[in-house]
This record gives sequence, C-alpha cells and structure tokens, in this order.
Amino acid sequence: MSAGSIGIVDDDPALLRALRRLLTVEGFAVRTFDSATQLLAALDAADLDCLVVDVTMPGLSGLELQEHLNARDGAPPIVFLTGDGNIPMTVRAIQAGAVNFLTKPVNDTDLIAAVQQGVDLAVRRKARHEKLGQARERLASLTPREFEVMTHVITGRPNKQIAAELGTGEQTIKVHRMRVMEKMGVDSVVELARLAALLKVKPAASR
Amino acid sequence: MVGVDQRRLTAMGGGPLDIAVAVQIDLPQLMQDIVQLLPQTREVFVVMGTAPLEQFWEQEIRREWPGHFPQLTFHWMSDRSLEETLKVLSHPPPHSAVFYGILNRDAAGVPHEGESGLLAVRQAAGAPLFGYSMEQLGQGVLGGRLISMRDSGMDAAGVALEILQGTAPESLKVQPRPPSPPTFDWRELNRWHIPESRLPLGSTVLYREPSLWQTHRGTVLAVLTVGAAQTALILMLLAARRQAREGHAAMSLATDASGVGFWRRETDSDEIQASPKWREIFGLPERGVIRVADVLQRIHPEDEPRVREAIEASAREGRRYEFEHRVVLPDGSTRWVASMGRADDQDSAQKLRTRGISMDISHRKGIESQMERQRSDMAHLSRVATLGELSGALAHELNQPLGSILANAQAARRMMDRERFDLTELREILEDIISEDRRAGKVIVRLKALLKRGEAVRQETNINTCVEDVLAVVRGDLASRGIQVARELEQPLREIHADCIQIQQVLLNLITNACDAMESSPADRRRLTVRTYGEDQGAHLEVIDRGAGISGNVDEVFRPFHTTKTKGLGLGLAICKTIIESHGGRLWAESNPEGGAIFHVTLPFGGSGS
Repeated sequence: MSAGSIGIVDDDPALLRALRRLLTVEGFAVRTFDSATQLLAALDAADLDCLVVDVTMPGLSGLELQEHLNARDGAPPIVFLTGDGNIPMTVRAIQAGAVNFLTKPVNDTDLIAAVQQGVDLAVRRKARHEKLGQARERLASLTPREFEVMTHVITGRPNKQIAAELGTGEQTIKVHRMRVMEKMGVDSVVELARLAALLKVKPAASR
Repeated sequence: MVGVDQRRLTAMGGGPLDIAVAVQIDLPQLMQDIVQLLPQTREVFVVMGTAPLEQFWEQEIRREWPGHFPQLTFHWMSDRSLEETLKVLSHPPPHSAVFYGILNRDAAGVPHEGESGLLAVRQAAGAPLFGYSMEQLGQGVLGGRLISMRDSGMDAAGVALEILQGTAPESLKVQPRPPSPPTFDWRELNRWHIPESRLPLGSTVLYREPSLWQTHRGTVLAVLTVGAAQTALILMLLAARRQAREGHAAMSLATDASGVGFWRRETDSDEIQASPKWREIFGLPERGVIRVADVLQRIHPEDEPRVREAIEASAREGRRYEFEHRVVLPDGSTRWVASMGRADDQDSAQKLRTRGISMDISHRKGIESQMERQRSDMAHLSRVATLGELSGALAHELNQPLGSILANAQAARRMMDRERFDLTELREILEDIISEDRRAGKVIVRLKALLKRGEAVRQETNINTCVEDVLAVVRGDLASRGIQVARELEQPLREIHADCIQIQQVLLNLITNACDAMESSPADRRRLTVRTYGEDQGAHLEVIDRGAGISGNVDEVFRPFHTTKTKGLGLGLAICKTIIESHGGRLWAESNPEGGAIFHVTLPFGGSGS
C-alpha cells in the first residue's frame, strides 16, 4: 500500500524523471504529466492525493492551474516548485491554498515533507467529506417529526420545554430525542449540535 | 510664270492664259535628308525674308516641318534683320542646322541682292547650312534633293517657244518638274565631318578636291619605281606596326584609365607581355622581360595553389578563369587583385595564346572588411547584457538541470538507505545525472561567451536616428539577401531617454530575426518594414516581416534559450526584453495578419521619468 498517490506536473522531462524516482523510493505512487492541460484531462480518473506543480510552464501556468482546481470540488492540494521565486508569486500561491512553495533545485527532505503534508491534508479532507456524506444520509433518514425535534434539541432546551413548544407530551419528546441520537450516530447533544452545524441545520427559534 | 511651286499656283489662282512652269518642292524630304546626314540635329534655324513669296514659303514650312519632325525645335528668323540673324547663327546651340530659304528682304526691310544673304550666312554660321536650289550649291550649302531653277528656266523657254510658234497656250501641258537627285558639296561634307556613307542612295558629290595621289602623282610614282618592292614592303610593315601599336596603345589607354592591367602570352613562350598598369599592379618593373615565374612569385603563397589550378584548368578546358587573389609587393605589403583571363586561339600559326586582365580591388576589399567588422561588432553588441539583468531569466534555465541532478542523486542515496539495489535503475539515474550536468555546462558556456560589463549611457535620443544607423549597417547584408526595406518613420518624433547603443542592439536583433524568418520566403514577400510613431506616453516602434511567422504562443519567443534555429543562442529576445523593460518600455510580438510577425517596442519620452 502506497503512502499516497502523487501527480507531478513539469515541462522538463529530465526533472520529471528525477522527482518521480525520489518520491517512488519513499513509497509514493507517482504519475507524471508534462503540462497542466494533460493533468486536467486526467484529473477525475486519477484520484490523486497531492500534486507537485512547476510554476513556470508554457501554456497554462502553475498558478492558473491552481485557479482551475480551486473551482472544482475535491481537488488535491498543491506543492509548488519554482526556479525563479519572487515573493508576490509565493504569497498568491499560498493564499490560494497551496501547501507549500519550494525553490529549485529542490531539497529532497523538504519535498518529501511537503508532499506528505499534502497527502495528510488530502486524507483528512477525504475523511471529512465522507463523514459529511454519511451525516447527510443520516439526516435524510430522519422523519419530519424527528427532524423538528432535532432542531429544538440542539438549542439545549430541556425536554419539558420542547414538549410544551411542540404541543406534545414530554415522553414523546424523550423517545424522539433517542431516535435522533441513534440515527445521527452521536452520543451527546454537543456532538449533535456540531453535526447539525456542519449540515447547516438551523436551530429552532425561541418562542 | 516660271519656277513657281504648284502650291503657290493654287494660292495665286490663274487665268486661262497664264501658263505656269511649276516645280515641285518636297519639304518633308528636304528635312529628312538633313536629318539623315546629321542624325544628332535638334535645332533648326529657318532663314526666310519678309517679302510675300518668302512669307508664303515660311507658312508652308511651318505647316509641314514641325508636324513631321517633332524631335526638332524650329527657330524662325524672319522676324529678325539679317544682322541679328547672323549674330544668332554665329553661336548656335549644339546639334543645330540652318536652312536658308529666300532672303530678298529682311525684317528690317533691308533688301539683299541675289545670294548676298546666303554668302553672309555662310560666313557667319557655326552650323551646317542647307538650301533648296541647285544654284545655292557651291556657295556653302550642303546639298540635298535640290530644285534646279535653271532647268525651270529652260522649261519656260521651251514653253515660250511653243507659244511663239503658235501652239495655243491652253493646250500646253507642262509637267511640274521634280527635284533633282540628291547632290552634295564635298567641301561642306568634309567641313562638317559627314561621312559619305550617310548620303542617300544615288547621290552625286560635287566639288571634290583631288587627293594626295592625284596632286602628287608624279612624285609618288617616282618613289615607287626606285626600289619599288622594298619601299612598298617597308611602307606596309610600318603601316601594320602603327596599327598594332595604335591598337595596343588604345587598349592600354582604355585599361589604364579604368585601373585595369592587361597582359598576353604565347603558350610556348615563358614571357609575358604586359601593360604598364598591369606591371604596376603586380609590383613588377616598368620595363624589362617578365616571365611566368616572376608573376607567380608575386602571388600570395596562400592563394598561389588556387590560382595555379584555375589557370591550368582553364588552359585544359579552354574556358575563362576569374578569381580574386592577393599579390605580395616587393616592399612586403599585400593587395587584393581580381584577375580574369582565357586561352585565345587567334594566332595565325594556330598557336594558343593566353591573355587576361587584372584589377586592383584593394579599395573594395578594404571597404568590405570594414563593413564586416562593423557588422560583427554590432552583432556582438546585441549579445551583451549585464549579469544582474539576466539573473532572473537565467536562474530558471540553470536550476532545471541542477534540480534534476540533485533529485536523482538524492533518490539514489535513499535507495541505498533502503537497500534497494536495482542496478538498472541506478544506471539510469547516473546517465541522467551526466546528461543534465552537460546541459547545465552548456548554459554556463554560452553565458560566459555573452557576458561582459557594458557602460550604459542614457540620454535624450531620437529613435529614428538609431533606426537609420542600424539600417545603414545592415543595408549591404539585406541587399545581398534580397530583402527590401521600407521605412515609415514619423518626423519629427519626440526624443526618448535611452542608451542608443542598447536600443540599436535590440533593433539589430529584431531586424536579424525578421530577415532569418524571411530566409525561405519568395521574393515578393522578402520585405522588412520599420515604422516609428509617437503616442501619448512615448515612441512606438514596429519591426514587421512577412516571413514564416511565430508558431505557438507569441510570448514564448521571449523565453531564454527559445530558438527555432539550428545555431544561435536563443537568448537574444530575452535580453532585448530586459533592455527595453529596464528603459521603462515594453517589447512584445504579435502575428502579422498578412503573414509573418510584428514586433512592437514602446519607449517613454524623455523628461517623463523612467
């Protein structure tokens, strides 16, 4: 099992070979692309965890690629390489979400560390994404009544109050509450509230 | 009525009892003969009086001559007195001729008896004189198809006789008398150096003077009878020799005048006959025998084998040789000479002769090498830039190979750390390292060849001057490559604050690129246009070519080491861009909609701060 799936984008074939060797030795699965266009074409099918991109390339530049990727969902994080780094460019890249900006000739330790960082970030994102997906599904499995109860529960109000507000018995509320917790897979109100916030569920307003 | 031209008859009318013995004057033919004798004629002075008959004739001439002879300018002397006419005629413009018609009364009303007018004109005239009647011939007129007044007179007498003998006048038909066949005065022909070959067919030449033979026949005969054969032979030889020498001298004269030396040699002979100029060119003595060996000695040792070979080849194949070579003079200096010669089999004994010419071309060579030096200086200048200006562009180019070398080495080291000894892979790594190292080395070498610290001097400069200077330097080169240059330079143009030498480097680079782009273009597309004009902020310059154009991204051409040529560094445009940008301007390229490329340069005006 690989340490992560990496895509390297650079117009210099010799450098492409060298970087691939370096990362492969460290256990990464590497794919190389000689232009940003080539990468964009293969992106969806590739399932890459992290990208190593040269900033100055003919045609679509590295920074332009970043813009394209940001417009997409689930694009992998980028480590930028440059032979000619100037500060404004670096700042822009970082602000737009690059993991790091390294100057050539690149130091192997620095590169590997940055790539690892990128992979970790990707993994975390993926996990979060999955979790969110899961949570959405769970939310969708709630009945309308359960949903309504949830919006009150996350405000922190006691069951008695909720029952009064919804015009039903306290016991009914207790039962609904339990069901919600179960379905949403949480143990506490705090967790539920967090999940709800993630799912952008609006808490019920006080009356 | 006698001797009246038919025309006049018509004009005059006449009753049934009037009989006219008319003559026929062919005016165009008269002038045609004049032009045939003197083809160079451009101005014709027509001498005619003011009496009615004279005026009648002038009108006729005015009607006929200018129309038929548009190349001639006619001057009508009828409004001048004879005195004035003589003044004019004594200093006529070149290529003039005078036609003397009738001058019985001049503009001043002065009558002139008989042919006194003609004599006076003959005396004064500085141009050939022509007339219309046979009676004028012998009095200074050149001649032509003249009418004979005497013959008309004879006709008239005959008619009168008829009438007296009782023939009814109206029954007498008198044919108009045509002009006589062309007749000329030899003395006048000689005076104006008109060769008899120009005379019309069937001409008669009168008043010949007897030749030497005719006048001194006796003496000549006497000479001949005494040792006739010998004398004749000597005379013949002398004549032949004089001719040859004259011919040779003429040749020498012609060649000397043009700086060309001339030589000749019989094939069997070792000796060369050479003109003084040729001797001078080769640094050989003015007099004395010249042998082939002497000449070969003079030829520069480096050129000698080539020269010898060319001459031998030409002798073998009987064709002309021509080449440029150096000659080493006695004082040790060299000069460039162009020589041309060939074998020539015109000897009566069927022997082969060779001859040729040589010309000193040192001057031309000097200029050529001067121009070449100037050009290479400029080309060199175009590759110069300071280290600081280039660093950004170069960093990328060097960091690429360095980057791969480092990554490769590090990968290899990590492999060993993990005890992954894949020999194939390690070999590949080492090969890549080596080739990338070489790549970096090339960059350094090129860079070293280019870099030199230059002193940049910026001042108020007229960009048009920079353009003109560069165009002057490349003019010869462009001409030899068949490229037309069009300039569209706005005048006047506000000055820019720039280092003209650097701007010229850029220009030279752009122009050279444009010419290279048109290398394989057809003749009608080998056109370079340089345009300048002022804009709000600064001067705008365009270098336009109709060549192959820019394939791919137009900005890519400015990248360092971008080149589509098999030789050359590819750094030119990157440096140009740096130079222009450091002046506060911009350099960019676009595709020419008509094919080819347009390179734009903008530079801010002086005083606007840069």
